[in-house]
Amino acid sequence: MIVNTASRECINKYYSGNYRSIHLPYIQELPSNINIFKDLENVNTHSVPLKLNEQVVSFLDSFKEILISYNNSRQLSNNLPPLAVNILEDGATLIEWIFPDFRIGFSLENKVSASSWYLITNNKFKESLRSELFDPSEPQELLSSIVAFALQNS
Amino acid sequence: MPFSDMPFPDVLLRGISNESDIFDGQVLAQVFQFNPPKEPREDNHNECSINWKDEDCAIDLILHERKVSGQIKYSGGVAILSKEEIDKLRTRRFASVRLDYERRAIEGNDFHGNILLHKDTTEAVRRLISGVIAYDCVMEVIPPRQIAPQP
Repeated sequence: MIVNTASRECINKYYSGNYRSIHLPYIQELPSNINIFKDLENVNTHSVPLKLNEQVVSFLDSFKEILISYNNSRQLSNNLPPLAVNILEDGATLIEWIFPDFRIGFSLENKVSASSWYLITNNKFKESLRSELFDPSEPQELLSSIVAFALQNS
Repeated sequence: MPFSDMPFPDVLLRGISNESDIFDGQVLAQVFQFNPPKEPREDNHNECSINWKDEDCAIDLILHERKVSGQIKYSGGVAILSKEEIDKLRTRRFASVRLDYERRAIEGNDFHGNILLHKDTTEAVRRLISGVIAYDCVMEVIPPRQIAPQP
């Protein structure tokens, strides 16, 4: 297989070396009580298409920025659970954020326009469900409202 | 009466591949994804493999299952699911007509069956249904037992 230089650089960036230092430098940047990225070090992204992997990294970056922004505006005392990131058999990346009374999921699909998020709650929130498509390249508004909900209810 | 003719029991079982598939006592939705069947189905459903708990030994059958390498297949244990909650989910508008279940015995496992989801279901609805199964339908997780390694 012929791989041009640019592609190889990209592959090296996203698939080899130290996943933690390349993808998750922010593991050290957040206070431990809100560091939702601490369990992501061993996520194996080798089977994920390059473009989708870039989307996932970009999405996690946006998540980090929003948490830092919230933390800078008012030191957060919440204990936020870590994200669980898993690569599904069909190649999609499923990011789950699980709280005692609700769970939030983000599914980043190979067909990017099919990416979606959901919220599932227990009877404390009237067992409500919500699910919508979203654009993983512009998740800031969605993430901001979800983080606000999580902080308010955790 | 053969298992295939028996009514569905109240409980379904799903093996959990890894301990990391459980977070704070809750099973991750990735455990309940629907995948295309090995052989095409006429009803165009994708499958999430389960065992029906017709007898207690159905749990042991999962816990003792091994990979080709001889390692325990479900090192995360077994999720116990409520059929009543699955039926409740089937009444939801987004899941009705798409979500179903069946008995489908396989060699060496009369308890085997599937939760079924029509293959034309959108990704968003598929992920939501898997999430709801993980959150609402799992009643308990039985941890793996200490089983002597195969000789």
